[in-house]
Amino acid sequence: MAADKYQHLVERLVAKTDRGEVDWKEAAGSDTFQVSFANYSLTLSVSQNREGSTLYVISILNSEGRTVDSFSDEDLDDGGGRYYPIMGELYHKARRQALGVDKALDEILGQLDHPF
Amino acid sequence: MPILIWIAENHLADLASIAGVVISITGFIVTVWNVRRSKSAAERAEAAADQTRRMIRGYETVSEFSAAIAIMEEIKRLHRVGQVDMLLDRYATLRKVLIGVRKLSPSISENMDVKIQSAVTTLATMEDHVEKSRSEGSPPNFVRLNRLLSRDIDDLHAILVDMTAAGERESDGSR
Repeated sequence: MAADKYQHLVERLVAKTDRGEVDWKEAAGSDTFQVSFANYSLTLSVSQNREGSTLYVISILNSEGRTVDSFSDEDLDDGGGRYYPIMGELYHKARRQALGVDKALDEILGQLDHPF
Repeated sequence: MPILIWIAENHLADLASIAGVVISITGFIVTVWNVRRSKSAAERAEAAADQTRRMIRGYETVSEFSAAIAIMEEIKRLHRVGQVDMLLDRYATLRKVLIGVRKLSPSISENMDVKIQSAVTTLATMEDHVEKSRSEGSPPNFVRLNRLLSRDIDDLHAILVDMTAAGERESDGSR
């Protein structure tokens, strides 16, 4: 039941991130990005499991900044591995948005195409 | 009894009855009018009390917000000198102040709420990051942490300016 909600959450986040409807920001933890809503926030970070493989972890923080829940791509997959690339892609999109990579590239390309 | 005969002949009983009805109706109208007048006065007094309460709450919110921004500036100074032990206390204090600000002002806009929530989240992840770095014996990247704090200070400062302007508008409107 919880896994269904997590999957739904990830899918909605991916769609909203693609449409630029969520505002990803850098979080204090290294390689961690955050997006906030009125009463809750999500953080998306990279971690490693016991075997040393990369894990993408989403944590849910409440209005007091306490982590109330967290899950990784492994919790969603049931061994299928379908959510690893989805959350990996989400992580890279969140990173690009938080660091303003696309904005910087667009501006540079704009100036290259239309020099002074 | 001549007086009773005189009263009967002049229909004084009927006149008294009519006068009684007129007096009753007039009294009823006056009572209704007074009730309505005191009700609207009570409503006006209640509205004024509400507005005063809102203004006081607004001043308290602005004051708490200013305190939060001052603590953030202090945290940036502590980052620069690497005072980790003091920092952890200040993170906790700041988080409490920001949570208090939201509780004090339930009528703030969703956009403001999101920005405060974002600052609380930055702070929570910062606290966690500094605690971890401390236990691992490696100093955190304070330059990066200060950059994130400056970002949140800018956002909170914009909210403070909006709140102050809204408070002044309300205060002008009540005059």
